[in-house]
Amino acid sequence: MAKPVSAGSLAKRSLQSHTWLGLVVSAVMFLICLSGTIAVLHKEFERWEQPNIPETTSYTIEQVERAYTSFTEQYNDDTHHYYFVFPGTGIPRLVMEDDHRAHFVDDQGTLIEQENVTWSRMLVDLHLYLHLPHSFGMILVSACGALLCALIVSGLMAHPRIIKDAFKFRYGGDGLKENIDLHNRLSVWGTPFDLMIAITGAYFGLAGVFVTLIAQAFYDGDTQAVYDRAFTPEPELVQEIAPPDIGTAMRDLQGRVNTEGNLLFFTVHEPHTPQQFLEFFVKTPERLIYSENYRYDSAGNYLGKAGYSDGDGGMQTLYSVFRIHFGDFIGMPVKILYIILGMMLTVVSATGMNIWLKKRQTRDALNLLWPAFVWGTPVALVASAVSYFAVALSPTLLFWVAMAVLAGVALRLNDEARIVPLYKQLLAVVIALFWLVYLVRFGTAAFSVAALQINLPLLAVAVWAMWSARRNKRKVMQVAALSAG
Amino acid sequence: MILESFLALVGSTVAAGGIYLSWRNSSAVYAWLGWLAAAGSVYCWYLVLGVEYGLTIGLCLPALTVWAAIAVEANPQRQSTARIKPAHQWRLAPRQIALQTGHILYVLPGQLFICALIMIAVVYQLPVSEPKQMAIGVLVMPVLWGLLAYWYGLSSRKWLHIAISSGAAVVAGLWLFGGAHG
Repeated sequence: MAKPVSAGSLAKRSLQSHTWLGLVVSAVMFLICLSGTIAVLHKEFERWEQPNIPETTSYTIEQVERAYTSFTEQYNDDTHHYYFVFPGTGIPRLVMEDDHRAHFVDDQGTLIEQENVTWSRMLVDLHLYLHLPHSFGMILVSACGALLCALIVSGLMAHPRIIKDAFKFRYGGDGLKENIDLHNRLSVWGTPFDLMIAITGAYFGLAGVFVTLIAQAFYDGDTQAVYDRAFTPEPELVQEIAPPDIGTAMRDLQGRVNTEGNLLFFTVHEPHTPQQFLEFFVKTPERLIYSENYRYDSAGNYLGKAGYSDGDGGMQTLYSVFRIHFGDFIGMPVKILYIILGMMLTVVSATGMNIWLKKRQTRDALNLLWPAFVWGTPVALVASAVSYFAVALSPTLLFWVAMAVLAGVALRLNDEARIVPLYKQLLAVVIALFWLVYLVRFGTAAFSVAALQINLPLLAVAVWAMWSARRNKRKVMQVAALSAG
Repeated sequence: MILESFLALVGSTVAAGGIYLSWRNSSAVYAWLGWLAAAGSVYCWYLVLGVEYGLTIGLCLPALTVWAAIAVEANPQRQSTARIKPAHQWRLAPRQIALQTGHILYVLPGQLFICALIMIAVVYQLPVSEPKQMAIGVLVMPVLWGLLAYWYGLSSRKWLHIAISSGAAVVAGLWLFGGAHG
């Protein structure tokens, strides 16, 4: 008969499993967590990237119609969709776009500057794809969501003193106990949020795998048939080809639902074809579904709603994943909550590897590369913004070049105690440089709400980095004095 | 709504305090009160923000509210002398490299397909609508994958784990692609 497995043995084996899984995904998980935390503010970053665009929360139907007409007259290349974006999305600007380009719209309905959100796109792509080819990258990132579930379960199982240590926090010393307690306290109390993020994050890449397998098993490989089961299929229409009557549709919509602050955007599907139809995406208060969608034919006649607000529970659940994962509900209070909780998860990722490195009896390049990676990532992100705004260098390229350079510098320094304070100081310096570049680039627009809501917190990060670097240096000197004594 | 949200936040903080006091005093009474207060605070958030927003925020907030108590318990550690560690001796071990690569390939793409097959086959047995089957499948799958990865990591008989998981995936695959379903 097999020996009964003792709790100690299970906890020890769980820790081994947790350690192995953590080592496999540590660097990638850190990047995903940090970029995701910052990308909670992706809409604010888009505004910050073009702070000179006039902002408004009001619009008229005539303005929208004028913008649509101007856009379709100016651009006649092939597109499957036109979109008009309203301030309800959280960005107080009007945007007219197709599959290839986007123009901001002024209060007369005239097309003005083109939307150019290259740096924001780089940040979001880092989170969604790790800058890898999209299909592969998204699956890898989603796999990390599943492995985060594994880390959560194994971490809880590896923690026999979970209740005894529930509020314990030891700080200072050689940093090992501080890292252990930070890692454990943040992860245990953050379990509901972390699980929620892991499961919803995994959805985005796994959904494609699911759809492919279901299509092969039940629908002769027809993936569209699977999407039509999960989400409301497009209406089948045969109409005369004509420009869509946006005004009639919008007036009808305003009579049906409260669009004040809730209208996100509308899409013209399959324009210039007999199948053309309009779809209005309207936010639903107190609901996590992305929107309820209202459909109109080319003449502006109401066809019906998609049913995401009161249809099948499965459909409502799938349609709610986006807002839960990205904290895109209620507005800035929830974004701030998600940023704090996201940073906690990021710290969990960083401290996990710190613990492993500190517990090791030997030392090698990893002891230098890991702190360089953790503290170099924010430096590289800010540096990519500096170079992009200054000389229009590709932010993606600059980010990875900066990461490589910072890794090289760390190896050259060959002293992990110096890396953390140095890179924190570097972060402060790069942020100061960024402020200068931004001021020169945008002039008075640098003092708009769109600019300051990012740049003031960034300045606070710089101040914190300087202060923290000083503390680190003092500690290094104390340790050196103790060792000499 | 701001006042109600503030009151719900106070409720969450009081609940965290109650749980902390129960921990501090090893008191079952405080524990019950604290956890009841925590449940109550989630209910308050539901009243303020509706069931979806309220539940989400109510469940996430303890991660923040407990830090006041953790700060009270913060315990400074004595500075120690710097420890000089010897250099790590890296050895080329092709067998270990192959083994670890195999583990990673099994856990990442391998378990992805195993879990996807098992999950789809299982949820399509459930007596619910197809959108519900898909939603359950795609949202439970990362949990299943996570559990399998955890089990694989702690198992000393990994061959058994692979055999059982792969066997289940083969059965699921036969049902999905072998024409057994209607």
